Order: sequence, then C-alpha cells, then structure tokens
Amino acid sequence: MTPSDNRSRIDSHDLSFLAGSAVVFHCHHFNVFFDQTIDDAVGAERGTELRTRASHEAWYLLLSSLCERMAVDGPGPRLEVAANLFAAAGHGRMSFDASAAGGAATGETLHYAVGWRDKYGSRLRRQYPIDGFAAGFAAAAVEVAHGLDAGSLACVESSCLVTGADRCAFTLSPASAVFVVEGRTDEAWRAVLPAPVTGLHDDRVEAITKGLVDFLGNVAGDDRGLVQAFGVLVTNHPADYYNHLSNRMLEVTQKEKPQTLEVARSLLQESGQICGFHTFGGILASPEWEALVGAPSDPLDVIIGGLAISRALGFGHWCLEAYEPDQRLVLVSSGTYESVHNKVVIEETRWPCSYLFQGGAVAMMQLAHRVEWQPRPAFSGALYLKLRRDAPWVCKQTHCVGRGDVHDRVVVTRA
Amino acid sequence: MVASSKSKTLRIIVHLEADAPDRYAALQRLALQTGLALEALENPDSLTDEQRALIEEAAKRILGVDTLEIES
Repeated sequence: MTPSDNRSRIDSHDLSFLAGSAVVFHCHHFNVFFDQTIDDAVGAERGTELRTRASHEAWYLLLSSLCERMAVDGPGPRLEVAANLFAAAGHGRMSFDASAAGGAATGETLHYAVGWRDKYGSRLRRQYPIDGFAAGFAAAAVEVAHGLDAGSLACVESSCLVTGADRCAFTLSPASAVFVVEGRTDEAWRAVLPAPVTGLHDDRVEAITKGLVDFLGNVAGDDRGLVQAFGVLVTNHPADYYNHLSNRMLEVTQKEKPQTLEVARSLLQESGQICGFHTFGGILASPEWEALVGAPSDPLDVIIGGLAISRALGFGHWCLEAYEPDQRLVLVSSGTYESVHNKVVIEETRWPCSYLFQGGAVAMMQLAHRVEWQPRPAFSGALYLKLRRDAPWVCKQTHCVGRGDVHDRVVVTRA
Repeated sequence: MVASSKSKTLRIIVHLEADAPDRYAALQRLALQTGLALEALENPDSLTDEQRALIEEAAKRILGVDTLEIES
C-alpha cells in the first residue's frame, strides 16, 4: 500500500483527502503571500510560532493516520514514509538525524524557501527563516515515528536558504507542551456537508474537472522534491494548515488590534486573488490545458475553466450562478475547504471565511476580461499589478457554510 | 520639527507604495503591521510621533532594508 492508496475525494463537493485529512493544491505565490500576511499581523517571531504549530498539528493528524492505515511500524520506516510523502507533495526534500529525544533535520530545496526566492529574492533581503511549515512537519514526523504525543517535540529552523545559508537546518528538542490536535478527518467533514449545489454550464465544467483530476493524480515532486508546473511551484498541502492559521491570526488581530481586522481579512482575500491569477492563469495558458480543453477563446471559457480548476484542486464545488460579462459574477459552492473546516471545528464563525473563494472569483473576472490570451500571456508580478490598478473589482461573500448558511456564495462587481 | 516629521511620514508611505514588493497591498500591510487603521495612514497629519516611528520600522521590514532611502 502506498500513500496514494489512501487518497479519496468527495466528488459531489470537490473536496480531497489523504488518510482522512483534507488536502488542497496551491502555488508558491499563494503560499508565500498567505504566510506573509500571518507574519504581518502578529510579527515575525509569533508568526513563525503560529505557522510551525499549524503545520505540526496538520501533519501529526495526517501522518499518524497514514502510518496506521499503511501498517507502517518503527521509526525508520515511518520517517521514510513521511519524507517521501513530503517530497512527492512538492514541499522539498528533508532528512532526519533524530531520536525520540530530539536531534536534527535538514531541508534541501524546501518549497517556501525556493518559492520566496523566486518571488522576492531579486528585490528583498529576508532577515529571518521562512520554513515554519517544514519545522512543523519535522516535529510531527519524528513524533509519529516514535509514537510520541503531539507536542512532545519542538522544532526550530536554525538556518535558512533565504537568509544566506546553503540549506535549511532544523533543531528538534523535547517540549512539555503536549497539545490536542484541532483538525478533524473526513468523517467529521461528511457529517456537516450541505446538499450539493449545481450551476450553469455544469456539464462542461464537470467534464473538464474529471480530466484535470486524472492529470493531477500523476503530479509528483521531481528530484528536488518540488513540483514545477504551469509557471508556478505547486504543493499539495493539508488544508488544516491554512485553516488553523487564518483563524488563529484573525483571533489575535481581533483581540489585539481590532481596527485592522478588516485589513487582515482583505489580505487573506488578496491571497486568493493571487492564487487565482497565477494558478488559474498558468493552467489556462498551458500547453497541457490546450491539449486537454483547447485554449480559451472567449471570457466564458475562462470562467468555466476557472471553475473546473478550482474543483480539481480541491477548493470545493464552485458553481456558476450568474454571469454578466465584464459586469458581475456570482458563484455558489456547497462548502469550501475553509468554510467546511470552520463548520466542523468552530461550528459557527463570526464572519464569512471563504477567502480563497472570494479572491479566486475576482481573479476569474480579471482573467476573463483583462487578459489577452493570444499570444500566450506570462502571468508576471507586473501584470498582476497592472490588473489590480486598472481593473478593480470588489467581492462580497453573502453566504457561508461556516456561518450556518446552506452554501457559500460570492458576488463580484465592478468597484 | 513636527512638520518635518509629518512630511517624512508621507514620503515613507509614498516610497512604500512605489517600491514595495506587492505594492498594491503596501498600505494594507503597513496597517496590519503597525496596528494603525487605514484611515489613519491616509491622514499622516493625525499621527503621533510614536505612530510615525512604528510606520518607519514597518516600512523597513516590508522593503527588507536597514535604512530608508528617502530625502530628509
């Protein structure tokens, strides 16, 4: 049995799972900007702690379930499964020299470090390590390998590619902060899922989604443990990582600087917009897309393509409710990986929480109406800036499963 | 002295909006880092010296520099 044998999907809701944990594909533009927003809100030190903890919890849940399902026993085999999965999912290569009492881990070409250098390295000098995600993974992997409780070990990145080191180094040490993992598995998700929704052009969207899901099933890390495709670095993340982080960051922001709560939420939406621009755009302009579907020839092709991509990536069952070209886009979804998580874990959130849905919908209007598709465009930072300045759109999330509504719904209009 | 400090803050914000990575989000990032409302950043005259110092430090972090290259 391999990790892939433990993948499952809820096709009616387009949610994906690995060993019971929800997983989603994302790109480095989204990942780096999202993490940056966390640090902007709570500071570098606390942000690193929050990111490490969120990853630690998400990976502990996933790896402990995976090793149990695969009947893998013993520290060596369990660490091997974990490290191979990490690389296959595009996060980079990690090696361990650790026991139940701690030790060291080393990261080669880690996704966040390589991604940050690609996105900002030519312009910025970073002053602190970036790989809280890998640190949390390392702690969880060693704990699961040795049958320890979550939180028995702490992991800190001591040197990092982005601050000038030639590789990323991590120190694992005993900790006394054993914690309860907050995530839930697919059984809990299934129990709260609302009835499926449908939308316009669903037959077309669904046919493309099926092809894309098959295609993504074959995506795996290269020799570096990275997935380079569609002009971006792709990862398959435990969704809990993002959900824990956005919830905890907003909680801190509301408590400590409530005057910037809406700013924090708008930057989470911006992360989604960045994701939509780079990932949807990169896929729609790719030779693979051309072979599978054909190059977009009108704005509706872009909207339909965006819906299919979002479904295949595990974002949720995004459907088209209404569309007025260049004026208005209304999408509905029977939950998203953000809203269903919150429905399960928090029961009822204080505000609409499907930030990726919000930002992705805005990006779809940008791509549909402000991008020339022939010749094939390059989805650069400069183009993103131009679109943000020249073609402003606003998005309002009117419904959210996380708040008790029967579906998620977003409305995009001109600013 | 106070007038000079105010205009320096304005120049920092202008500099940030022109040169920051992700400059479409520069003002929001500045707000989130400093804990100052966007309205306050849009009206630098209303800021205290302590708030101006917060803005300067946050701008350095966003730009990844030790000193800001703005005219004094």
